[in-house]
Amino acid sequence: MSRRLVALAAVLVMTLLSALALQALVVPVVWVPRTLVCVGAAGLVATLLRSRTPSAGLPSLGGLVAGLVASSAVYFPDQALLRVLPTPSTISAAADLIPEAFAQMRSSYPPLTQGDGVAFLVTMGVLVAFVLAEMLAIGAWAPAWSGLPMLTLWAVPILLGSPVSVGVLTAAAAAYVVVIAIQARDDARYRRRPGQPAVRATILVTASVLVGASVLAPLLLRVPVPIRVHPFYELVGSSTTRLDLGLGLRDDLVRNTPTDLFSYTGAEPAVVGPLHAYTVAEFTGSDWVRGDTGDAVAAEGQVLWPSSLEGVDLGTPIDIDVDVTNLGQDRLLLPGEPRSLEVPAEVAYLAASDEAVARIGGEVSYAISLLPRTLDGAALTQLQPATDVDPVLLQVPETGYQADIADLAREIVADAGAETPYAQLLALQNYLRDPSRFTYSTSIAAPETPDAVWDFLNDRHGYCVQFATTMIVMARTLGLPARLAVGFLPGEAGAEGTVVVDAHDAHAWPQVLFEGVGWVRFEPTPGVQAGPPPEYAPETTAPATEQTTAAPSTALPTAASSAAPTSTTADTGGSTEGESADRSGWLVALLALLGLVWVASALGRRFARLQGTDLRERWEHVLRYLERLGIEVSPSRTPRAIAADAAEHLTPQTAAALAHLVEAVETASYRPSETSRASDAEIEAWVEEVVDGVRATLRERSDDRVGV
Amino acid sequence: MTQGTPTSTGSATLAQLLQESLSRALRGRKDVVRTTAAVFLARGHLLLEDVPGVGKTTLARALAASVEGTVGRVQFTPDLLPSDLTGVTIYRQESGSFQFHPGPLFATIVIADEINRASPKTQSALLECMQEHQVTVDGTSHPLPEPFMVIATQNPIEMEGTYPLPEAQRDRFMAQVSIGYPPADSELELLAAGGWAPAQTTPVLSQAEALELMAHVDLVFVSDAVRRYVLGLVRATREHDAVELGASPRAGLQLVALARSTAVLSGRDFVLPDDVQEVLVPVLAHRLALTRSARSGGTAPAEVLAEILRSTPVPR
Repeated sequence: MSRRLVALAAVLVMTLLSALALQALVVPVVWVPRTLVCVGAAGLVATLLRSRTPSAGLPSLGGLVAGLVASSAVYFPDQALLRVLPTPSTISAAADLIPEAFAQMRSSYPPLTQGDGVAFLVTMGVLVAFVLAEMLAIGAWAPAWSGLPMLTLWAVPILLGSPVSVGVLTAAAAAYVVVIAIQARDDARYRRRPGQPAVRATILVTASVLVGASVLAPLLLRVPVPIRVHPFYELVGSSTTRLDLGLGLRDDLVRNTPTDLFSYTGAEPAVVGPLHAYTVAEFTGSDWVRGDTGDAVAAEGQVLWPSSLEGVDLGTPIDIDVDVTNLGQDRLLLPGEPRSLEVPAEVAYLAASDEAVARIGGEVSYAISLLPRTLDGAALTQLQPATDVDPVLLQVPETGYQADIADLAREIVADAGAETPYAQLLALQNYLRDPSRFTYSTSIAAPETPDAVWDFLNDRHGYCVQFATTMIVMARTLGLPARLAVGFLPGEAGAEGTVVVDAHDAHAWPQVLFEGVGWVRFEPTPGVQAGPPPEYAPETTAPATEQTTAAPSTALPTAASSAAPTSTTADTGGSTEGESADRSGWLVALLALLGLVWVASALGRRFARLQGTDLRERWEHVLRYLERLGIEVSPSRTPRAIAADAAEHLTPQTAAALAHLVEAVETASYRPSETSRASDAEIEAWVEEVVDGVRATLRERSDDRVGV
Repeated sequence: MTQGTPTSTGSATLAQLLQESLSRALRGRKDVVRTTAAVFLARGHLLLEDVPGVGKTTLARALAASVEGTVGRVQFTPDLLPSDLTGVTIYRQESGSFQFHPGPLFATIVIADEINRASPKTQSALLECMQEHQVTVDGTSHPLPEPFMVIATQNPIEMEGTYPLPEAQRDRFMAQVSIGYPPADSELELLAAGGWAPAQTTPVLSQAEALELMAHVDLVFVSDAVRRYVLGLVRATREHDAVELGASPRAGLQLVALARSTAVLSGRDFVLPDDVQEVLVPVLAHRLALTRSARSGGTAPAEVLAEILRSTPVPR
């Protein structure tokens, strides 16, 4: 009993620590107290039930019910009967709360600091994980498996790229080890394969999971993935922190450990905006390549900007001190607005690509005087794209799919009713940022066509380079000159106004050249880490874009997301791509099914063992111990004869337990129809008593030997 | 764990009483007493191989007294005739009819003392009665009383002028045991008491109860596993190198029957391999004919059986 309590406490601690992994996403104050109440109620009821029934799953079920009742009392007291018991209106209140929570998660950036809905979701997740872990670790005597539900809790911050406290991780792992240590058993007892009951249990588990999944899947699919994933990443090798310009769209993004690269003071990150080191204009269809960098001019004492600043409204200068601690390249980091530099070295400015080159080492400090342009939607709407530009800025790679991409771009723009260049760019940006269409992912699917952009439009998974490149190519098909800027996100403000940027802030974004104002940044990469789009290019304010997003958001996301690209694929004979996608989908489903059956059969075997079908195996287990005592346990000896021999070596209590066990074995083997059988709990208790007794005797013997 | 029906519990108690009653009469030989009681309950017959004066008659008388039965005692001699056992039909002049005079066989317990001294003809007559539970004289069948049990004795020392029972005849005895000399303390007690005291034995169950108990023994459960174990043991005697003639199928039947009554004596309503092991030597030892070389090597049937027990796995 006491061991069970310790095990339960360990499972509880493990679950709560694992839940704390979410603390960077949702502030603990929001959910911890209420979750504690619900999980505590579940644990209490499960433990009480466990002392009453030997069943493995029933107490956990009871615990789940208790946890749900507690959550109804904590989250919906107004709907609950006597402010505790759930009523039908509790369920409808919960059903209302969940979409609210998803909406909140989509509309805000972590960590979330408030919200009943989000807290309710977290509580439910933690409750289910706890009940599963409790059932596996305590009910099923399968403590190692209890790591699985914990993994689902850890998967959330891992998938979202949110930082996790090493202390919490270590403590949770320690609790997990404690659970295993307490609940692990001598597995030798279960060497033989159990028969029918295992198969039955396997089928039962598999069937219930399948039924549950088929019921839940349609519900879940209606709910879009709550948070657009945008992990921290870098575009650079591990040894140096150079930004490498071999920007291949086919490569997976390799993320290294975050290293602080530079910091700056004097302005808020939102004001500074992303800082670029390079810009590139030439795209081959799968890679960005550096072209001619143009002529360099001296940079001292001038406002550095690639185009004329006549007639451009400039704000008041903002002085920024940049402190580069670790940057293995010769390009200085520049904000995307007109600026002048003060650098303790010779600096050359490359106007064509808007880059500043300094002959400096890894460490340098320099000052930037920023002159932000006043850009707003109203003004930009009036502007036309720059004419008479370098043709490379309008070049669309001839991959055979450029017409398809152009068609899609025109369709997007037409759907949005966008007429001005600015509205067209907004439509493209919104199209790419739509979470029901595109998913941020650092791993890139294998090429299907020579055109990486077309592949991305079909696969709909990629990171900032794919998003930015796609917007650039589409803009170029519409006659808008655009290029790619490569650099870093502005970082986050730390203590004392110092903003530290690390390698994971590396980023790439499109720039479009407008007549008069020059290069303007857009932000097609969705998600939390890319930050909000520029103020002049907001996500949802443009009335035209609402038309595009309105249609898909009412339908199923899967259907909506496949609509646009496949409608254009149909007339280009792209059916093979669809087929192969179907095939890989089936393969994944098959593998998932096999994995499910495997897990279910493992659990089923474990449950079957617990259902006492293996009295014989328990007896064999006892025999192995008796053998160590020096008792002859050859197959020709009857249980009774063995027990009679062993009784001489054991305490009366142990001998009595052994006698009971022998009677149970005899009844099971030689009186199969006997109805009055010993219960599993009794048998288990006798087995433990005998094993412990034999161990004690063996210990005494070895002590005696040492004593002599 | 073997709580059976109330009836079986009662049967177990009665069987225990019988066993205790016999133990009081023949002190110090619990195993012999147990086998005797078990053979009686299994409706078998017992062969005692003993020197004179160890309490054979006492045991038989105690058994008879315990079940309110009668004792018939026949001292077998070479000139004993079958009719001396069965009884004769005599013409009654007064009534003008033949009247049957029952012989000593008409008793609950029949002691056939030194059975190997009678002629084979008389022996086979006795064995036939044991099998049939009836006596046929002058074409008329006379059923023997129920319960009916023959306890035959053989003197293993004085073999001259005897007619040892052939194997086929021995097969009809369910079990053979030796009482042997009593342990020292029991013998001292015996000396102090001035003799065995069968007269003190009071009935512990009526004949009707005894028959009921026998009927209950037939209901004792024998699992397939145990039956297979019996079969394995019996067949092993036929394949053993030292055995010329192994156990017959009847031996297997009697092994199961005796194991059943032993289970009842242990208060169980189902047979364990332990029961089979317990009765294996009494049931099979006298039926095995060992090879000449085994006999000259001094091997006893009991040793062969112990070896077979060691090599036959118990069903689990």
